[in-house]
Amino acid sequence: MCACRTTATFEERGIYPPPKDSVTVGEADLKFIHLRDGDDVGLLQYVRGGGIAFPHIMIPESLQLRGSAQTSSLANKEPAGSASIVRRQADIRKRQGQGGSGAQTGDADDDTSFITTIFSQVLWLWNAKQHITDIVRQTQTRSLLLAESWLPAPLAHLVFGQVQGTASAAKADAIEAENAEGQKSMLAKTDGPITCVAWHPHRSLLAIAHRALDCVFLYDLASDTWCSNILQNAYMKGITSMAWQPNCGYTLAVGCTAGVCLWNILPGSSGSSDSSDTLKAPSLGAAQFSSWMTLLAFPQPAGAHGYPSRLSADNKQPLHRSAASVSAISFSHSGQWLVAGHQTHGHLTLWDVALGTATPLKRSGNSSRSAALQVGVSPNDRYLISTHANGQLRLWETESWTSRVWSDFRANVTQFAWSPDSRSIFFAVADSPDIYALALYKSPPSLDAEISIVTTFEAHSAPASDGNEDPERIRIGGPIKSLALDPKGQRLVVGFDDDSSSADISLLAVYLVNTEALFRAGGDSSALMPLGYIRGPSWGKQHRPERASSSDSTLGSGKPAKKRVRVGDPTPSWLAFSPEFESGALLSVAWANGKVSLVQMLFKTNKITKV
Amino acid sequence: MVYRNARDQAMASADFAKLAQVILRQRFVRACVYELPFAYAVAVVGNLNLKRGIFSVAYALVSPRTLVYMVAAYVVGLVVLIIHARLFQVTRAAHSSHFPRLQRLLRHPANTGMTVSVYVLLSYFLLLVHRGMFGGGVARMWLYPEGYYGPPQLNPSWLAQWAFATAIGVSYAVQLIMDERLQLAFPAIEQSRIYTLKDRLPHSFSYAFGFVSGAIWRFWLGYFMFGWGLYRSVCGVLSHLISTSSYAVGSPLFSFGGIVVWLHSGMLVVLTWEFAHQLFEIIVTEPTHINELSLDRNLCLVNGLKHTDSQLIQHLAYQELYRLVAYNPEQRVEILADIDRASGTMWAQISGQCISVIKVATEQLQAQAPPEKTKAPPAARSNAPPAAATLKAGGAPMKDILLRNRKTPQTSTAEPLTKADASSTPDLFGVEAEGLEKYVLTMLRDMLLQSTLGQRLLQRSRRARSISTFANFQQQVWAIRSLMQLVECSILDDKYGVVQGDIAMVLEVLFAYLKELERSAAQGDGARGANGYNVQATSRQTVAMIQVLRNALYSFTTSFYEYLEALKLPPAQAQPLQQFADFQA
Repeated sequence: MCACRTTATFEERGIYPPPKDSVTVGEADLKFIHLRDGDDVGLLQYVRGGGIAFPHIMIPESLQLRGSAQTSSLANKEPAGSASIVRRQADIRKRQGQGGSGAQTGDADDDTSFITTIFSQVLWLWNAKQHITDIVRQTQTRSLLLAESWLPAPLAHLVFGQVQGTASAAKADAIEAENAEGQKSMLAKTDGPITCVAWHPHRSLLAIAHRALDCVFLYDLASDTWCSNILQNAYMKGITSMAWQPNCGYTLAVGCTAGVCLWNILPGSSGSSDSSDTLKAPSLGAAQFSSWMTLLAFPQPAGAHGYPSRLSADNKQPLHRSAASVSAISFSHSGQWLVAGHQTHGHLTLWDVALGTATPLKRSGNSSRSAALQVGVSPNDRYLISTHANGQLRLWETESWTSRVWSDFRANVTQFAWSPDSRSIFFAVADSPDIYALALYKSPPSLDAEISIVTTFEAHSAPASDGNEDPERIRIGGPIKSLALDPKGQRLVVGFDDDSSSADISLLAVYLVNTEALFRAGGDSSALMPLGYIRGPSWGKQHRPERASSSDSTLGSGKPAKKRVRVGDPTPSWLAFSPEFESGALLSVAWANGKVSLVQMLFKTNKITKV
Repeated sequence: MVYRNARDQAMASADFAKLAQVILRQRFVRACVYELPFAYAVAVVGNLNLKRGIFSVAYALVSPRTLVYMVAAYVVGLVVLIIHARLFQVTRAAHSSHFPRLQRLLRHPANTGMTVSVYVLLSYFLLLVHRGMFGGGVARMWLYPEGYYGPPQLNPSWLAQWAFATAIGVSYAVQLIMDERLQLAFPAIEQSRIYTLKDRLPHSFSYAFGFVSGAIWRFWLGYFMFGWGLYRSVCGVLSHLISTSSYAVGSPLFSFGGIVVWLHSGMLVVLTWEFAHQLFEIIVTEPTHINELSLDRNLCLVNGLKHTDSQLIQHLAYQELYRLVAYNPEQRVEILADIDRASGTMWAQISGQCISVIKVATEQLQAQAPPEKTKAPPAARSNAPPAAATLKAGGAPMKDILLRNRKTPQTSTAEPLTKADASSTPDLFGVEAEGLEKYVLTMLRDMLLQSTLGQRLLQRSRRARSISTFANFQQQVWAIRSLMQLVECSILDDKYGVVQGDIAMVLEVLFAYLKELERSAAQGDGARGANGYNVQATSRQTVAMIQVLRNALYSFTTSFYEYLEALKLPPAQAQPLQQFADFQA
C-alpha cells in the first residue's frame, strides 16, 4: 500500500455544508441545489437546467401483509391471517356458524368438533411416519443423555453424533447462534425499515427490501407507482442483499438466511393499462404479475419440496456443506453467473443461474471469522472482489479463478465501488475516514495491482453555507460507512458513520472522480476532487426512528454497538446509483426513516480531462 | 517432447483431433501419476492403528505394510482409470421408458459384465491384501477343533467377508452404470487442479462412507436370510472334495470384529475407487487450450468443432470456443476478421457449427411434438402491423425515467403457448433398444401391457423425451452462448461486417428453438397432483435451456438496443424480439 496525492479539502475548494433545515434536490452545473423554506429560486434554477424533482418514495416501518402467500398483494389490505388452510377454513365455518341461529350454531359446533376429531385422527395417521421419527428421536435423546452422563462427551459425540436435546448439541447450537448473531450484527449495514435497494439494470424499476417484514417491494419509476405484488416467501428470511439479474427480464436474486431466493417475474397482460395511451412506457406498473421463486440452496432445506431447488441428485458438482446464510451477492454483467458470499464461512459460491449448478470457491477460511462481507463483479466480468470479516480484501480474476489477497488494513473493508472501466476500485475501511483506491495496472487476467489512499475526510467543524454572517457550525466527516460510484465513473458519493465526535451523518459528500490520475505518474491531478454535499429530507420529530438494539455487537472486536441513529437526523442507510441515466447520474438514497430519495446529477462530459 | 511433436503436427495439419489426442494421452499419464499419492493416502489411512495413539500416524507413514498396501491400491487405481478411459460417456444415452436404470444396465451387456467382473476382482484383490496385512480371526479360512483332533471346518466369517466383497464390487459397478457416473461432468469454471480436488475429496469420503455403511446393513439383512443356506451349500460342495467337519460355530453377523473389518476394508476399497473416479473426471474435463498449439489456431478450432469421431474431442472444442470468446478478446477479433478463407469466413464456419447443434435439437423437439389438430387461421397473423416497424427506435433502455414518451408495446402476435395434447403412445422401447436389452425389455413390455397400470407405466415419459433432446446439453449451452457472445461483440470487433448479415438467421434459429422449448414445457402444465392442486411438471433441462436462450436474447437486445430498428429484421424475428425489447418476454 502506498500513499498517494491526497485531495484538497472541501473548505479549501470553498465548499461548505448546507444548513440543517435544507434539502438537496440535485446537481446542475457542478453545483448542488439545496432548497430551504420553500426556496423557489433554487428550484427554478434547477429545473431550467434540465433537472427533475423526483418524488420521495416512502416505506413504512411496519405493514400488515397476508401471511404464507408466495406473493402478497398491496391491494389486499386484509389483516394477517393464519397460514394454515385448514385453520382458515375452520374460521370460515366458525363465522358461518356465528351468523346462524343458536341451535344451528350448536349443531354446527358439534358437527365441527366431530369432524375436527376425525380430521385430526386422519392427520395423525397421515403423519404416522413423522410421529414414529419423533418417538425414535426422543428415545435416542434419552439414551444419549444417559450415555453422556457416564461417557466422556467427545467420545459420546464420536459414537452417537449430535442429537437435539443433548447438552453437547445445545452447546453447539449456542456457539452457532452466537456466531450467527455476531455475523448478523456485523453485517447489519443499514438502519431503519429498508435493508437494501436494487436498481433493475435495464429498466426504471427499484426493488426495496423491508427489514421487519422480510419482503421485497417493487417501485416502477416509469409510472411512479408501486407494483401491487409483494415478493414474500416463507424461506426468504433475514434479507441481506439483493441484485437484479442482468439480461434476463425481471429476475431478482435475494440473499437471505436460507440461501439465494431467485424470483422470476412475468409481466402480466397489463390489464389496467390503457392501450390507447401510446405514450405510456411498457412497465410492470400497478398491474398484477406472476412470479415464482426458486431457492438456490444447498443442501435443500427440509420440507422445501414445494419450492424445488435447482440442484438435483443428478448434479455432479460437489458442493460445500452449505450454500445458505448468504451475506452478499453479485451478478456478472452478462447475467450468466451469480456469486454469493456467506455469513458462516469465507467460501464463495458461484452459481450458473440458468443451469442451476454451483461451484464453491474455497480460498478464505472455513470459519465465520472469515465470513464474506461484500462481493462485487467488475463491469467487464473479468474480476471479482470480495471482502471478509477477517480483514481480507481478495481480488479474483474470473478466467482461472486465481486470487490475490490484501489483509494489512486496520479493520474490515466494508464498502467498495468498481470504476466503469474495471481498472480501479474505490473502497473504505471500517472506522476509518480514508478512501482507498486499488488500481489494476495490466489487462485481465493480471492481478498486478496497487492500493493507495486517495483522500481522507477527518471529522471537523465547518460553517454552513446559509449566507449569514454568523453561520452555524456543522461537524462533518469521520469514519466512512458507505460509498457509491456512478456508472459513468464521475461522481463518488460518501456516507459517514456515527462516532463519538457527533458529526452530522445526514450529510453525504460528493467527489468528482478522475480515475486516470491513479495511473499517471507525477502531475498535479488527484483521483478525487470535492464537489459538494447532499442533505437528505429532514423527517422532523414525528418520525422517530428505532434505535439500534443494545444487543448488537461487532464481531471479533467485542465492542458494544454504537448508537447509530439520532432523532431528527435523516441518516442514509443505503446508497445506489441508477445503472443507466442519460442526463448524468441518478442517486437513490434510502434514509433510515424509510424514505427513498432520488438525487439527480446533471453532467454531460464523459471524461474529465483534468481536475 | 510430446509438445514438440504436437506442435509439429499442428503446423502441418491444424488437426484439432490429433492435438487433442496427444493432450488427452498426457492427461491420462498425469492421472496415473496423481493416483500414486492417493494410493499412499489410502494406505496410510488403512494402516492407522488408533490403539497406538499419535505414534501410529508416524508409524503408518513409513510402515512397510503401508508400502505394500500402497502398491496394491495403486494397481487398483490404475485399473479403475483404464476402465473409465474405456467406458466414459460424454453425452447422455437416451432411454425411452420408465425403467431408465434397468435400460442402462442392459444397453451394453458386455460392458456391464466386464465392469462388474473387474470391480469384483478388484474388490477381491484388495481384500486379499487386507487379509494378509491385518489378519485376525476372520482371515482364517479353516477352523480346526481344539487339539486338531478332527477335520477342519469352513470359517463362516471368512465366507461372509468374501461374500461382502462380492456384494460391494457388484453393487458399486451396477450403481456406476445405473446412475450414469461414467458420464463426464464438465466444470462450470476453470480453477487449479488442487482446488478442484480439494472440493471433491470430502465428497468422496462421504460417498465412500455412505456407500459402505449402506452396503453393510443391506448385506447383513441379506446374509441373515440367505447366509446360512449359502454356508451350508459351500460346505456341501467342499465336503465332496475334502473332509470337513460340521460342528456349530458362531454367526459372523453378530461378530462386532467382523463388522468392523467389513467397514474398514470396504471403506478402503471404495475410497480407492472413488479417488480414481474423481481424478479421471477432473483431469479429462478441465478446459484445454489446444488451438494455441497450432499455428493456424482459428482453423484448428473449427476443425475441432467439426470433429465427429470423438464426442469428447468435440466437446473440448466447444468448451474451448466458449472460453475463448469470453476471455480472449484478441482472438475473438481475429476470428471475426478472418475472412480470407477458401472454405468461407471463420465466422461463417463457427456460427454454422453452433447453429447446426441448435437446429438438430430443435428438430428433435419438433419430431416429439404431437400432431397439430388445427392450425391458426392465417388472418390472425395478417392483421398484425408490419413487424419491422414494431421495433422501437434507439435510446437508452431506461430513458423512460426522464422521457415518458415511449410507445406502448405492440401486442405480441406470436402464438400463445398452446397446451399441447399430452397424449403419448406406448412406444416404450423405440428404436434405441438392441440385442439383449431389446429381448428383456420386450418381454417386460408384453407382460406389463396385460394390465392398465402397466400400460400407463409404458407411456413414454417426459424425462425420457427430455434426455433424448438434451443428450448434448452442455454442448448446446456452449454453442448458444458462444454464438451470441460473438454477435454481441460484433458491434465493436466486426471490422468487415461479416456478422451483421447473419443476425437475422441466428435469431431465427434461436427463436425457433425457444418456441419449441416453450411448447415442450407447456405440454406438462396443468396436470392435477395428488392433493388436488394443479402442478407444473417441467423438465429441468427444458427450463434451464429456456433460461440460457432468454439470457442470450436479452443480452443481444440490450447490446443492440439502439440499433434494433436499423437492423431491418424480417417480421418473423422482429415480432418476438419486440417482446424482449419491451422486457415483456
